[in-house]
Amino acid sequence: MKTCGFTACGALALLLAACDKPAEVTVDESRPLTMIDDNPKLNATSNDRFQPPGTGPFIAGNVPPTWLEQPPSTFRLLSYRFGTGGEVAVGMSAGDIPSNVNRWLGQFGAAALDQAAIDALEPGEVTGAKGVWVEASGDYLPGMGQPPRSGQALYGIVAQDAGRIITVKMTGPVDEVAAQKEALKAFTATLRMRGE
Amino acid sequence: MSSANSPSILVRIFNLLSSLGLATALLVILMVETWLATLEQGDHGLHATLHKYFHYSEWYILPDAGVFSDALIGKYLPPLPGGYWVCALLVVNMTLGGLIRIRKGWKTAGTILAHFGIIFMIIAGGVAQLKEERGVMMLSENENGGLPNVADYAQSFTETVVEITEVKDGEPIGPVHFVKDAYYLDLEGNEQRTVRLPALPFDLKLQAYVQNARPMSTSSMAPDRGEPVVDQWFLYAQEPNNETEIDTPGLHAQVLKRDGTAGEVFLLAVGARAGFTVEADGREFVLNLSKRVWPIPFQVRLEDARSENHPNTRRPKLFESDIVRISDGQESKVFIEMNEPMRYGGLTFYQRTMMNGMSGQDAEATVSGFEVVRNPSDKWPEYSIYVVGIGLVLQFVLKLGNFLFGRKSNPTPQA
Repeated sequence: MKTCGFTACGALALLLAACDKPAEVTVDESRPLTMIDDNPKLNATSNDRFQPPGTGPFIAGNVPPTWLEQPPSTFRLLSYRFGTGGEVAVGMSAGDIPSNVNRWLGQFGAAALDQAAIDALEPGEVTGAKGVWVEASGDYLPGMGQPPRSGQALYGIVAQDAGRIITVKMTGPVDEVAAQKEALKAFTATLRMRGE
Repeated sequence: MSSANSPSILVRIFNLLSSLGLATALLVILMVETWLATLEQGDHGLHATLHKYFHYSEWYILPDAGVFSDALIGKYLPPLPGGYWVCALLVVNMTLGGLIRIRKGWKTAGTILAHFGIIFMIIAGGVAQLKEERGVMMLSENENGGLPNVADYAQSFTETVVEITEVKDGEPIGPVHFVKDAYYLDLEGNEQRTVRLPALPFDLKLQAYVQNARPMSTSSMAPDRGEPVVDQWFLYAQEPNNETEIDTPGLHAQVLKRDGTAGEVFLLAVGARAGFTVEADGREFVLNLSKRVWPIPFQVRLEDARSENHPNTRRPKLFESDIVRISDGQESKVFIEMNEPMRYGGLTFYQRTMMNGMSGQDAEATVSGFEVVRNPSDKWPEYSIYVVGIGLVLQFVLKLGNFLFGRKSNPTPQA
């Protein structure tokens, strides 16, 4: 029998199975190592993992959730704000530890420290560089044309590494700075130089 | 008509499946689907459109009516059968009608051969969809270019995997375990899936897949869609790109240890500069979400990349690369250019792209990208063309011979 006039495709059944999403699956697939697997990095922080490259010499580690990141500038390679007027700045400068410590203290009207007094300050470390923690409080003269502020405090570290000075400086209202001291230490401990 | 003269139901089915009418209908459907897919890929991207129209998982298609008019955006045309299955039915139809049912003899030998060639070509496409592995290998002339100068792997364009690599004394220990994206692509919102990993001392719970994610720090931007925040970072969902290969998927995951404890949720994202470290059973593992890695059984080193555009245009005129293939310690120099791929070890390396400027413009190209294809049916379409060509030539020669030397019919004398 000759099939005539058949021009329609009517025999295709559009059967759809119910699309259940399994809650559990078992997977056992693997591939051999390749060159892309070389040099795995362990214990990377979220900042290490996700921060875009090329945004300055420092990579932040543990940044407290209450800190708000600010755009970097020439002198503030990493910059944050917190509370009602607190600031954290990571910078790099020239000079030595005593001159930078005394510059900070001078901004609060405090007397300069001699080497023996600086050696007696709490030792610290940032990105592998050795330094000292500095504290001050009182009226703050930030400089750079900014007006003086009263009731302020300073907590920060000045460290020296291969001829460069690395600073992590927190300033702000006395009570807010006091509340963020431990957070600043945690931040400083996880701060890294890019490429390290 | 008596029942004794009626064909049986099997004969009816055979006649239906082998009919010229069915072949015509299927070819018309394929033509329409190809046309609609061509229109639609401009809005939805090539990868997504090919999947929608021609992937075997798509039994039917709802064509987007919005390609014809903005007023029709969000509406669909009447459904059509999935292209993969139309082709499968066409193979059945041509096999039954064009090989089995057709009269056999010298007069039809060319036609039968041409039918066989077409069937072979369609099957080659089906095999390619099921078995083909396709990735890209990007190489740089300079070691410090951010891309490798030597590689023994290619990476998928679109497929991602969760990779789990054990690390001991700073060195990776093989093999690398992975979870294919088929196991998490469908996880929307709060949907979760436990992935049991019998070869490892922990399992994974995967959730909230994002097709085009951008890791954002909460110190830069606050999450406003209820995204989970992990360690002051969250996955910001961006609009997927038309070119799916440039999407950067993201995923939320959690480690489930064998003692029943669950770790914190962590983020995985394609493009992350390091993996997430997991310690379990005294062992250390690094987890990454990355484009699937295809190991290649030899190394390729880029010696020189050269590119040239047509005058005053950015249209490539010339892409060519000098490479060294390193296999079992033996180095072989190979020249690859557009339409002149390297075939070796079951793989085909096509010249795909160049980067770092064009010759005569900014600078010489220093990065060369190769499309690496492992396809068991790689050469089948070429062979099928030969078969079809031979069949058509044979048919033509037979017809010509019949015309020249065959018995001429005698016209009926007119009264």
